[in-house]
Amino acid sequence: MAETIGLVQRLSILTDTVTCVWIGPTPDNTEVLLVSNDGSTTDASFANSMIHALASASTNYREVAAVHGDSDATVTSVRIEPI
Amino acid sequence: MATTSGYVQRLTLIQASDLACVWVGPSPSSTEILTVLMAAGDSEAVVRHKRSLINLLAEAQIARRQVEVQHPDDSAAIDQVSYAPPYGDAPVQVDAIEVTQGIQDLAHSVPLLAGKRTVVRVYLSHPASPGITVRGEIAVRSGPSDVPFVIQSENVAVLQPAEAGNLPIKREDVDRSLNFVLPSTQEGPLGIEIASITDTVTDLDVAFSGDYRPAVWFHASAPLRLRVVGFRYTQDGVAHVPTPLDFALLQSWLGRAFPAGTLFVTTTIADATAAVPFNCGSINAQLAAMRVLDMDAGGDERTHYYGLVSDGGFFMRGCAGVPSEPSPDAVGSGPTGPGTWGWDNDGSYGDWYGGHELGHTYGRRHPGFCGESMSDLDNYPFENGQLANDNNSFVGFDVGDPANGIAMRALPGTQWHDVMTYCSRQWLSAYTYLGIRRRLAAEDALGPDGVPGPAPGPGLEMAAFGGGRPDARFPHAARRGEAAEARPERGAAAAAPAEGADRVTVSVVATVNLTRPSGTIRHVTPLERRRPPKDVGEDAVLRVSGAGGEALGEFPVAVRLDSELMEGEDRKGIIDAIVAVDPAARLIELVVDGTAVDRYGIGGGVPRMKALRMESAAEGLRVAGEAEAAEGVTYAVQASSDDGASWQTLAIGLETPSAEIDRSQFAAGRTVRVRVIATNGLQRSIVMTDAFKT
Repeated sequence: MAETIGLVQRLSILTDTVTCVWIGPTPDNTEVLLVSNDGSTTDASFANSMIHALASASTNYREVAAVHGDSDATVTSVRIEPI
Repeated sequence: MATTSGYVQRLTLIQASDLACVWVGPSPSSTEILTVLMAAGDSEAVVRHKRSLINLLAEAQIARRQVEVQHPDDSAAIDQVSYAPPYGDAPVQVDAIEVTQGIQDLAHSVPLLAGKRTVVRVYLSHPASPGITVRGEIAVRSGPSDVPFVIQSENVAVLQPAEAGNLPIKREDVDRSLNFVLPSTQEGPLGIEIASITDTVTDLDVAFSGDYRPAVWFHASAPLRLRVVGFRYTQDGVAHVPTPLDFALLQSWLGRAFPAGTLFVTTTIADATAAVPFNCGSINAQLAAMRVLDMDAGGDERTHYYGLVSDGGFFMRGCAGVPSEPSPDAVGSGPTGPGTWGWDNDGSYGDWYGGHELGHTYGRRHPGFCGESMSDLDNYPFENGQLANDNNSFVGFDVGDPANGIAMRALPGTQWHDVMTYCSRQWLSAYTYLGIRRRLAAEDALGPDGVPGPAPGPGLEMAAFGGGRPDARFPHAARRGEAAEARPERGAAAAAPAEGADRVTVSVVATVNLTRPSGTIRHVTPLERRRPPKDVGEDAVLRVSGAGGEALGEFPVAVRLDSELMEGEDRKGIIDAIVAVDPAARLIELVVDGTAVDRYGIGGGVPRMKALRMESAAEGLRVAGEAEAAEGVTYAVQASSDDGASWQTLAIGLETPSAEIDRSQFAAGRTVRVRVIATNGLQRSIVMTDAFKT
């Protein structure tokens, strides 16, 4: 698994199942990742909370760690560390 | 049910199992791990409840507010979450904590910049009578394993019961908050917490509630690169020159108000070549000519140039170029002196006046509220050119400068105005602050040689595009590489391309009045480095001809209009062009609206310098040269303190090869060389002094 750490520079909610998030140290140096869900109520709600946390981190310039596959941009977990 | 209280120290959301893990406790090393699990069999109502729990926990973590989490005695599964009550029985309440570097709101919507002087303002209330006087300590750290760094408040604050909870009144008065100056900040996060509040009468710690621990992020910022030229002139036998205080306060004000964590500022004093009383257009033309000569001699292309003119003899109204795209070559100049303008009592008004003109050179236009042109009226977001529309949003804050005796000061957003207006009480609004920050970043990306993208560094060749860790990639590299291929190298005149290889690269600077039409060619300087044409446009034409009057080329050029033109005023500005002319050229004509309005003879033999010596002068040094008499020859003086790697122009357009040099511009003990360039506008010769210690 790979981990991308940085500020949430951009967040785009595209559909009810796909959201793109750009994470990196500066706006022009990011990795684009996906938050998706399988359409079920529980998975959609959980993805919604993940997006909420990413949005909150973005507006407050808080660093996040997003875990995803080595060759896969789909986020499997998000972590916000203490300061 | 059990209750776990504290801060959300860590939050992990695992989507594969729809599981949220939450570490709650008083510190990162003392936590309890709790969970919220969305199970497949949960009803919609339960799912919504759990989503709300997770969202509240995430908000609490980001805002660093205390929570109380309830869960069964034998389970870590969270049932309920609540923010800890903001106000308990403690005598002192924490209303808010604000981190400011010049302009800010309570949401911290203005990004903080690493390296910039920063003040943490803590707003406290004491609702019970009588009030108390307190001082305090905050602890800051950049990571959970850091030892907290404790900072004492700069002041004491009187907490009046009548002002309890009244944040606007506290934000607008520096004495109504406890203020803490952060040590030098680095890029990255910073957690802040109140360590103690002490009653100054009893010297006992006072309990406080409503505590939260904001975390802020310090961003890297592009430096502000500036050369300030103080222009000396003589009127009625008296020499006038900006004072050391004028230079110091301009630099200080830019450091306090402008969005840059680092300032690279150099200064010098030069004799104005225009006749007194000159205007800012003439000074800007001289400044532009000095700048282009500096850039030709190794200067950083991102450096802005600003001219300071003392108002001791006469008042020179300021003006500047206003480039719509990143163009550090836009120059500006303005007056300075001890006048207060009714509100500025620090001893020099050249600071904010310079901030206004420099703002233009970073593309900022007039909002249009106090008599200035309305060139940005539609975009400016606040009423009357103010920093804010009400006292609940942005408040300006001068972080102060102890070295120059400038005290910290709150600048109420409805009473202070944007620096790009002509209103009194000027500071940078968030709108202007962020606009200049964007322009500084865009200019920084040009690189020291004016090519877009960061300069290549060690390891660049190993970095790939589109892969690897974000901080290991260089997305500009491709663009930079393409641009570099098209870029002439410094000092590459000898390795010129085939076409036009014999042409001479010449800087032409002129002042122009497009309304009359009229104009004057001020400086024509051959450049050592071959450069592409600059400021091509359709406003005027430079017409080049030979000794027999034969046409050798026409160059359409742009006129950069002055920033401060009022409605009905003539459209004046400067031409700051670079053109490649035929070596047989003997005349450059300035053509405006089809009419040749000025002519400038060039070429006709290389001017020769015979000798050069340095002498002590009353207020510095004097470089004195001897040259063969020749018509149309002018002289420029440059100095280098890096063994000739780069040269800074100290004088230009001299009729004799002599000039006084301000010794204070050189750091003590530096090795300096001085050279004089003689030029006929097409060729030049150089004589250099021996190196000497300052």
